[in-house]
Order: sequence, then structure tokens, then C-alpha cells
Amino acid sequence: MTTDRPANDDLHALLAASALGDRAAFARLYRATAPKLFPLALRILKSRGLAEECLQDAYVKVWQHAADYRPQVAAPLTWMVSILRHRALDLLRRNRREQVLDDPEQLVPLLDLIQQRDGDPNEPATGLDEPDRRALLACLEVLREDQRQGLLLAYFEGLTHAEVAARMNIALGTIKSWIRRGLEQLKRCLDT
Amino acid sequence: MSRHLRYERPELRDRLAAEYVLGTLRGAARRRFERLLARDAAIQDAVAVWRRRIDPLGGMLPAQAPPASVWRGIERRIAPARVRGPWRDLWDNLAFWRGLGLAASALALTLTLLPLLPLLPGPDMPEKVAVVMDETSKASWVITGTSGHRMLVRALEPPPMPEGKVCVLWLVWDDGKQMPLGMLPEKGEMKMPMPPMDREPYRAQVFVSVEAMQDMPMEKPAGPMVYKGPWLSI
Repeated sequence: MTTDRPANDDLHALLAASALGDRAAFARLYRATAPKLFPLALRILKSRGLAEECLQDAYVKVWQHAADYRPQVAAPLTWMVSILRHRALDLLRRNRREQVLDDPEQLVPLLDLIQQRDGDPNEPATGLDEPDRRALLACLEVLREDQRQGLLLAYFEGLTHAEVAARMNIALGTIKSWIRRGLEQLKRCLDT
Repeated sequence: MSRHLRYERPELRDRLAAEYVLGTLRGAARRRFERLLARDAAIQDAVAVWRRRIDPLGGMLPAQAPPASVWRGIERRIAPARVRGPWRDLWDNLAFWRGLGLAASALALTLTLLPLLPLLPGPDMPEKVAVVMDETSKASWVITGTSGHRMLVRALEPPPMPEGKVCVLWLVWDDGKQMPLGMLPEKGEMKMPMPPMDREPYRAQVFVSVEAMQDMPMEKPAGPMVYKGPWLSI
């Protein structure tokens, strides 16, 4: 899917213009990326109010730090995801949520969810570096299913080891070693 | 062995960076890690690499547009605070930067944008004066221009500049033509040569912009304009 390349270059240009104080470019950056980041905030925070606050905080930070973005380190959206998740985890710690274990949407296997757009031409461009995205999906597939599920629950729901253990009904020690090994495997797979 | 030393083991550092990025490093362990992260380049690198590895995940959920109120809130928060005057805006932007270092101020005093013109012999009288003021109308610099088109700049109470930033003096004519004159001194007095020009310098207005020292010399201002005003006859 080479079509993501121009989109990515656009995001680079919009970020660079934002760094120089170009508000119109920043508005375009927001329109292009907020629909990708908002569902992540919602999924971690499980509250529309908090997710909206989180999105707002994250974009204010993107505006203030646009000049710090380094294209050689991460794709634009990846950099913005890091900022948003950092803020979301902060907000999560300050607002202990009630766990909603039975929300049917959460039962959709996360891997299926993130693969949905694969090959769907109607989905907007991701703004992710396409090789990064493909490699990550391929390496996740290599993991054992329960290890993968543990990792994805921690990542997308902002769960602690103990919360992942409760959700999957597995002993805490087992979850800790699954996640650790899952991360190690992911690193080996991605670095080769 | 202290906790800090233990983080110097690369495998442990990498594992903690991974769990930090994933979000499973929590509580006191997370806070301790973040304190080290703030000052340890090896930890920063490990975190950056893990973010590159796994944060592409965060952009893969099916798109969902946020309500319009979110953007309105962002716009409000990033709007420039116009009412408070240029120096104050500048100060807000720069307040978290480090203060101007000695090396930088020495450079600011000695570097100029243009080669010095040979001083002309003969009578040369002060003719014009321009006063650069801050938002409270307090004079920051006073610039005296002579009939022979030479300038003397005196620093009165210049605003503090962050390291690597300087105030640059320009001329701008009614038709928009701009010309750089030089960097304004942090303190004391400085002769500033008037560059050769085919225009009457005292028909222009003076203005001041804040620029990065490494961008010097420059033909066009890149940083914010913080003052603009006319020459006055003496």
C-alpha cells in the first residue's frame, strides 16, 4: 500500500509548518489525525468526557512541541500516538475507572479490530509508516494467542498486569511473564 | 547497589522501557523510571525505540471523529494572548528556556550582521533617535542616528533573552522593503554601521525581531516582531 506514503509526507509537512506557528496547517493536521487518535483515547479512558479532554491536551502538546518532532525516529502519527497515550495513562491513573467487563464491544478480539482496515480502500490513510505497520502486525501474529491478547489488552485498554490477569482469568505471575516474553519476542521479530 | 545503578544494566533498562511504553509499569516504579528518563540519555533512547516499535499500534483502530467542541477547545488554548503586549507574549513563549549565558551575550556584543564600514572623517552630528520600548512603554534601547548615517545603540533595560536568541534591529520602509542593521547589545553601548543603501534610512521605521543566533546573518526576519516605531528628530 504505497498510497500511505504521500499521506505521511503530508503529515510531515503539516507538522513542520505547525512548528513555525502555522495555525491553518495545524488545523489540517488535526483533521487528518484526530479521528485516528480519538478512538484510542476512548478505548483507554472509557469515558467520552475524559477522552475529549485527553485529545485536547495531546494536541496542545503537539502544537507546543511540533519543533521537537524527529522524522528519523518515528512516523508522524506514531509520535502523536506516543503523546496521546502518555496523557491517557496519566488521566487514567488520576481517574480510576469502573471496570466494565461485559461491554460486548470489548469482546471483539483486538487483533481483528486493528486488522479491519487492511485492504479497505475507503478507510482514510493511516499516517503510519506502512512498513512499520505491516511488520508490527506480522510480528503480533507470530506471538502465541494468549500472549498477544495480554499485550493488546494492556496497550489498548491501559490495563495493569493485575487487571489483565483478572480480565483473562489467569494468575498474575503468569501474565507478567507472558507480557515480558511477548515484548521480547516482538522486539526480536521487529529487529530482524 | 543503588536503584539507579541497576538501571544501567542494558537488559533491565530495555525491559523497563518496554513495560513503560506498553503502560504496565505503574505506581512508584513508573514515577521512579520517569525521574531517570528525564535525565538519562540511554533510557530516553530505549523508550524512543520502544515507542517506534509498538506505538504504530495506537493508530490502527477504526477511525472515529471527535466532536467539534474538542477542536474549539484546542484553538482557544493555542490562541496567542494578544492583549498583553509583545514582550509579554515573548516571555511566555520563552519563560521555560534557560537564561542567556555569558558566552551568548559576549557573542551578541561582538557579532554583527554586516562588515563595519570605514568611519568617515568630518563633522557628524546626531540627527535622529529611535526608542525601542517594551509593553509598559519602558525604554529597552535607544538608537541615535547621525547626519553621516552612523548609529550608536545604547542598551537601557533590554528584556532578558534565552540562550541562543538575540534581538535584531531592522529598517522597514512604507513599501515593505526591509533591511537588517544588526544585533542589539545585551548591555552597554555599541556603534552600529548603517549598511550601504540607495534609500533614506530615516524615512524608514525601525523594528526589532527575536532570532536564533545561529541563523545570523539573515536577510529577512524569521522570528516574531516585538517592536516597531519611527525615528524622531533631535
